[in-house]
Order: sequence, then C-alpha cells, then structure tokens
Amino acid sequence: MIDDVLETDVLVVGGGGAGARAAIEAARNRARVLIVVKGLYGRSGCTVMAEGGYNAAFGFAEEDSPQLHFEDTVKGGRFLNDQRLVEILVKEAPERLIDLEWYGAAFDRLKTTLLSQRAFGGSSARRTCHKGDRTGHEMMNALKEESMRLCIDVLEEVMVTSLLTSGGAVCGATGYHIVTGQFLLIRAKAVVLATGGGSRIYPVTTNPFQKTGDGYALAYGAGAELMDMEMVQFHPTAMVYPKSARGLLVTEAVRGEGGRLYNRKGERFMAAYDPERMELSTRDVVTRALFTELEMGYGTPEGGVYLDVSHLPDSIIEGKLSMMVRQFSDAGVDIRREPMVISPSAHHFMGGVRIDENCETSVRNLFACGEVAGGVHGANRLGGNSLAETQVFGRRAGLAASARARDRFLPVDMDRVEEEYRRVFRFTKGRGRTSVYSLRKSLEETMWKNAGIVRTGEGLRKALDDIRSIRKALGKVRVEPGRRYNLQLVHALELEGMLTTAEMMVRSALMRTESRGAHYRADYPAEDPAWVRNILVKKDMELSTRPSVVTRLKPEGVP
Amino acid sequence: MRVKVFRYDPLRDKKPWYQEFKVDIKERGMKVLGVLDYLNTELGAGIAYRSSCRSGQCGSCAIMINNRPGLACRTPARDRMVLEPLKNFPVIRDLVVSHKSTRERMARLRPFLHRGTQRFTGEIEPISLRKTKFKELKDCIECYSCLGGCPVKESDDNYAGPTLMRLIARFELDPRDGADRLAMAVEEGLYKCTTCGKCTVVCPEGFRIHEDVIE
Ligand SMILES: Cc1cc2nc3c(=O)[nH]c(=O)nc-3n(C[C@H](O)[C@H](O)[C@H](O)COP(=O)(O)OP(=O)(O)OC[C@H]3O[C@@H](n4cnc5c(N)ncnc54)[C@H](O)[C@@H]3O)c2cc1C
Ligand code: SF4
Ligand code: SF4
Ligand code: FES
Repeated sequence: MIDDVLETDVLVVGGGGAGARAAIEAARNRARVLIVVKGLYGRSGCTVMAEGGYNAAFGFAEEDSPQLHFEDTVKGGRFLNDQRLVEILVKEAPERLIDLEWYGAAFDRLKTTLLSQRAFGGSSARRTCHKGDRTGHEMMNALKEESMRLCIDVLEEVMVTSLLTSGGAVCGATGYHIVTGQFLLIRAKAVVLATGGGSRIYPVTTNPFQKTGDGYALAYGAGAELMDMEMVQFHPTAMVYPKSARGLLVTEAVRGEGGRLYNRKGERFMAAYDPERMELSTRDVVTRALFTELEMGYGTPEGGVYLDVSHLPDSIIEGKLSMMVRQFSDAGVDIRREPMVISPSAHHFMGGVRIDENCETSVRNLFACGEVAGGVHGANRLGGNSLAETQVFGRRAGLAASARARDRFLPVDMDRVEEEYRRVFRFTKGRGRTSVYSLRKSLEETMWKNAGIVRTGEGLRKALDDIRSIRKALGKVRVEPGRRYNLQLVHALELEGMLTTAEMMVRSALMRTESRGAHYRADYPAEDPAWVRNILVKKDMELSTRPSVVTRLKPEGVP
Repeated sequence: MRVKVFRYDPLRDKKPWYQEFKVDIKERGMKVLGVLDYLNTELGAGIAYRSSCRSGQCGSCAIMINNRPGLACRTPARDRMVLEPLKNFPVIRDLVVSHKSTRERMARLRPFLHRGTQRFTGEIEPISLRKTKFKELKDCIECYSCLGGCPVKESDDNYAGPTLMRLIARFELDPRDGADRLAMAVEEGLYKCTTCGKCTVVCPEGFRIHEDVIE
C-alpha cells in the first residue's frame, strides 16, 4: 500500500512565498525540513505571478508609518481583521523585505539608494515596494536561492492528500507522488500549511491551476478551525477570451490611464453606479456594476463588457500599458484600435485557517501561513499586503514549527493511512462514466452564480444543494488507471477537497446576513454594526461566531 | 484544427506513439495550452503536460511545438501542429520531462549569493543594482526552452547549457556576489558554446543569451 515513508522534523506543504520562507526559517533553526509542492517549487503558486508589489511602511517615498499601514489595513478589511495579526504584519514587513535582499533579491531603487515605492489602492501613502512588474518573481528567485544555500529538501509534484493526527495533534501527512505514482507517508513533528488560496473554485480566476484550496480541506479534515470563508476578493478587470487566458488579470492601470467601460448597447454604464468616480470607483463597486450589467444581459457575445482605450493617443497606450498591449496582441486584439473584453475574476481568499501570533492553528503541531491562513485581511485585502504576509507569517510559522523538532514522532494510525490510500485510488477503479471535468464545471458554475460577487439567501441555498448532488455524483467518477502523472486523478482529488471548501464558504456566506467588504448580499445590502464578528467553521460544518479581535482601532459605528 | 500529440508512458508503452486529434476550435488567439486543456477536459484525452500560470510567468509549460521549443501558454495554436516533449530531457510521460539532472547540475553551481557576513541594517544597502543587464537576467522564468533548443547540449553533455550559463551570469553581474563565477562558467563548458544563437531565438523572455555568455 505505502510505497515510501519519509521522515522530517518540519513538513512544509506548498512551495510559494509563504512555504519557502517558513522552510528557510525552520532550517536556520536547525530543524530538518522537507518542502512538498503540488507543482514545481516556486512556480506553481500565485507568488510568482504577483506583479504589483510588497507593502512595507518604510516611508521612503513619502511620510508613512506602521501605524498608518495598520489603519489602512483594518479599515480596508472592514474591521474583521484579527488586529493582533495586523500589528505583526505592519511591524515586520520592512524587516522581511530586507531579508529578501539579503537572500539575493534586488528591489527597484529610486535615484538614491532608497527603495522605490508606488501607490496602491486603499493605501494612504506610497508604500508598495516592487521590482518592475515582476515583484513576486524576484522574491521567489531569492527564496529559492536561499533554500539552496540551506540545502533544504524539496519534493516537487507531490500532492498532499490528507493530514494525519494522533490524539488531536498532527503527526504527518499522506501524499500522491504525481511523477512516480507512489503513495507516500510523511511523518513529521510539525506541519506548516502554505498551500495558498482556492480561487480555482470559480470558473473565472486570476489564479494558476494549482490553487484549488486544498489547504482548507486538509485543515478542516484535521479538525482545525477556519474563519471568514465567505470573504473572496474579485478583481473587476480580467480577460475573457481566448479560453486559455480567461480570467487573467488586466491591470488597474488601464482604468487609471483613462480606460472607459461600455456595455453591449454602447452605454458608459458606470454613470448609473457611481456618476462621480465613474471607472475609477473602488474595486468592489466596479465589480458589482459589471456583474449587474452581465446579469441584465447587457454583456458582449463573449460574456464580458468593453474596456476601451482606443480614444487615447497611441503613445500613451504603448508607453504606459505596454504589458497590456502584449497580453492582448497575444490574443489577437490590438487595444489601440479595438476595445478589450473584460469581466470580473476571482482573485484572493481573505479567509482561511485560524492562526495565533505564532501561526499555530487550533490543532497542535499544525501551522498555517500565507493565503491559506485567515485573519490578516478581514473582509477585504489591500493590494500589496499579501506578499508581505507571506514573508512575515512564513517566518513566524517556520520559527514556531522548528521548536517542535525536539519533540518525538507521534505514532501514526496505519488504519487511517490505509483508508486514505483507498480513498485516493478509488477513482482509478470507479465503475461509473462521469467525467471529473463535467463535475468540476458544475461546481465552478454554481459557485460563480450563487456564491460569487452578488449573493442571496436563495442562491446560496441552491449552491448548497448543488454541492450535495455533485458530491453524490463523485462516486460515479472514473479516471484513467495509470499511476504515473495521472492528471485526471489529481483533478478528482482536488475536486473532492473543493467541495468541502465550497461548502464552508457557502454556509458562512449564508450565515452572514449583511454586506461587508467583499461579501455582498443583495437581500441584506447594508453593513450591520452587529456583525463585526468572524464566522468560524470546523468539523461537521459546525459554525459559530466570535467578535473580531480589536487591539488599537475600534470598529466604526460600534459603541 | 488537427493536432498530433506525442504519447508515451514508460510504464505501459513499449515505445512512444503519436495520437491525432481533430478539434473544432475557432476562437481568436487560441493558445497551444488552450488546445491541450480542451483535449483533456472535453475529449478526456488524458494527456500529461505541465502548466500553471497560463501567462508566461512560471515557465512550467515549455514543450516542442512543431519541433521548436516554446511556451504552450503563449504560442498560438495552428492547424496540423505537432506537440512533443522538450528536447534534451528524459520523458516522464507524454509531454512531461524530468528536470532532475539539470537541477542537480544547477545545485553544483552553488546558485546563491556568496555574500559577506555583514548584514544590511536599517536603510537598505546601497547596492549598484541599476545595471540593466543584471536586472534582465533575473527575469529568466526557468522554462528551459533554451536548453531544448541548444545543438551543443544535444550532442555534448559536458556543456551545462544556456540556462545554467544564464544563472552563472546572473551572479557574476551581482555586485554582492563574491564567488569566482567566471572560472565556474569555464568549468561548465563555456567555451563549448558555438554562439549559434539558437537559444536566444527561442527564449520567451527575449534574452540575448549567447551574447551575455560571452560577456
Ligand atoms: C495574478 C496575481 C497577482 C497578484 N499580485 C499581488 C501583488 O501585487 N501584491 C500582493 O501583495 N499580492 C498579490 N497577489 C496575491 C498573492 O500573490 C498571494 O496571496 C500570495 O502570493 C500567496 O502566497 P502563498 O505562498 O500563500 O501561496 P502560493 O504562492 O499560491 O503557493 C501555494 C503553493 O502550494 C502548493 N500546493 C497547493 N496545494 C497543494 C497540495 N495539496 N499539496 C502540496 N502542495 C500544494 C502549490 O503548488 C503552490 O506551490 C496576486 C495574486 C495573483 C493571482
Ligand atoms: S548559442 Fe551556445 S548556448 Fe545558445 S544554443 Fe547555441 S551553442 Fe547552445
Ligand atoms: S533563459 Fe530564456 S529560454 Fe532559457 S530558461 Fe530562461 S527564460 Fe527560458
Ligand atoms: S503556464 Fe506558466 S509559463 Fe506557461
């Protein structure tokens, strides 16, 4: 049954910015570390795609302070943030950026020796450090180089399928080795989850293929508590076609430079939603406006609306939007002459596994950091805060996890492992004829329609029904029998986790009878001061609420 | 549109074979990756290939497209195209190749900053990192297209190949790095490169690899 057993002090699941940083810190503290990545190390997550930058209140560009960064973040998050975590984020973000340069990164400089910092939505000072429009790539390279120095073991293309527990504490994980087809048992004294978010639960997303939210389902399965799962950020402007590019980010700079939005009837529809700011309104307002237009049937045949810059001089388009010119000319569209077709795209999960200041979850020996963890961003994330989050909390998770290296290995329940083995490979022996892709499509569609940008009680209940019936149909899925690089098997396993994650999201969204940040309920369109509370979910879909953690900034409207 | 795809599962097939597909895709700007996704999700073809970002940022998806290395996510799909795994790498299955020996060779280069012990404090180290070439070289997405296109690498494994030369150059140009990278490059077969320029042609980032190697 088991093809191989591995042992390590600290097992890091996920090889994005957060996972790499956690591994580095644990290795520096002399723990044995193993990084396990579903795709390629450093190249299968969002980190490598992040363009905009990294928020750190150095105050090089203009007057700024951690306090100001704190306030922006909490206000942006509509007071759902765990303020203890935000304090840590704003205080440590600059130090962690210096670490990155120490590892080999080189962020852009002004004419002086100081870092260049750009303005980003929701920030009251220019605070976002960057390297051109490839900040995440630069970070990832540096992190990879540093992990080479520390000789950290990396196992690529292994999908972790479950976490193992012993007496309520985590003691390892099981994995499907995609390249060899092996089933692995990995024993560890501590596990750091860094699997990123799950925007792939939606059909249109800016995220890479691997981001199916596996970490949420893994943590849930191990009994950990998750929070704010209803909070998903949608980016208003993303590509619609060709299919292979659907959902890819269209930078906000297009609207910044004067791009105009039109519906099929040629109306500049933003006039109806925000006549003053028009296209330059905030992300959530533009996203909802677009959504409404599409729902009313005013979309283009391709299923988006037009974003037009053709009225601008060519020189501006070529000079300031060169990346977009390339991205769209790849798709056969000359944006100097024709409008782009765009629509909103799922971008980021604010919620996730609940952690304390040392990134430990409610399950002993299980740590979480990066997008898979919740609490830092509250109900809405500010651009640039995530890259900082991966570094600040990655380090903390690695540090705390490495302290467990002195413990003993806990015993592994082999019956549980065998059960998991059967669960994983049952798909290759399935009797039915259902294609895993048709089921994934139904899940994505119902989530988009019923648990997406605009939600209602009725829609959410429908989504819950759909999730139930898709789960039933899962029993009829059959994938091809080969063990080696079996993508169908990977996709089926992902789907099973996505169903769990989706259910947590929908149930939380149903419970939150108000609109706040990224969560919009058409049947409860106003923010309700009584709802400055986090929704928690754990085993057996048990929901509860808890007042948000406040340290320095009192919520608006609450006495 | 007709597509021919290299198929090979070393555990099950005696030898590689090709599978032909006829697909009805008329979309403007369709990419090779889009066709592969279509074959798998709509036709259940079960082809093994790598992909992640869909936008030329992660370097996972390089394959041979009509006998030329390229990123599946950025190369336009054409009628009668032939898709094969990247050359100069062992095949794991179908279009997926093993990077193992390349990685091991890379590790031998000690590809990390050989820095002093003094840590930067407060104000960030005033490094003269404005050299444009240095910055550009760091943008390599490690897709290995250039390795798949290098004729010297094909016949002589003593040559480390363009990707690794690029890596060495990245450190050579970094003012913070203290190792003798030039010696390293020579050891890795720098002089074997014929400066034919094939690697430069296929690099999706548009690096002038062969010119930077000579540097
Ligand atoms: C297009 C885009 C642009 C962005 N721009 C910015 C920006 O400018 N500034 C900013 O601050 N944020 C930005 N973000 C958000 C930010 O990039 C992410 O929130 C952050 O990088 C997440 O890092 P992470 O390490 O948590 O996860 P990721 O980097 O996504 O890594 C997740 C890792 O987990 C692995 N994994 C997943 N499931 C499993 C499993 N079951 N087993 C093993 N491994 C698994 C994956 O293979 C991957 O390696 C952007 C996001 C996108 C998509
Ligand atoms: S220029 Fe040198 S490295 Fe590039 S393909 Fe030719 S021989 Fe190979
Ligand atoms: S140098 Fe260019 S072709 Fe070679 S690996 Fe880097 S990006 Fe790819
Ligand atoms: S999928 Fe990332 S480069 Fe092609």
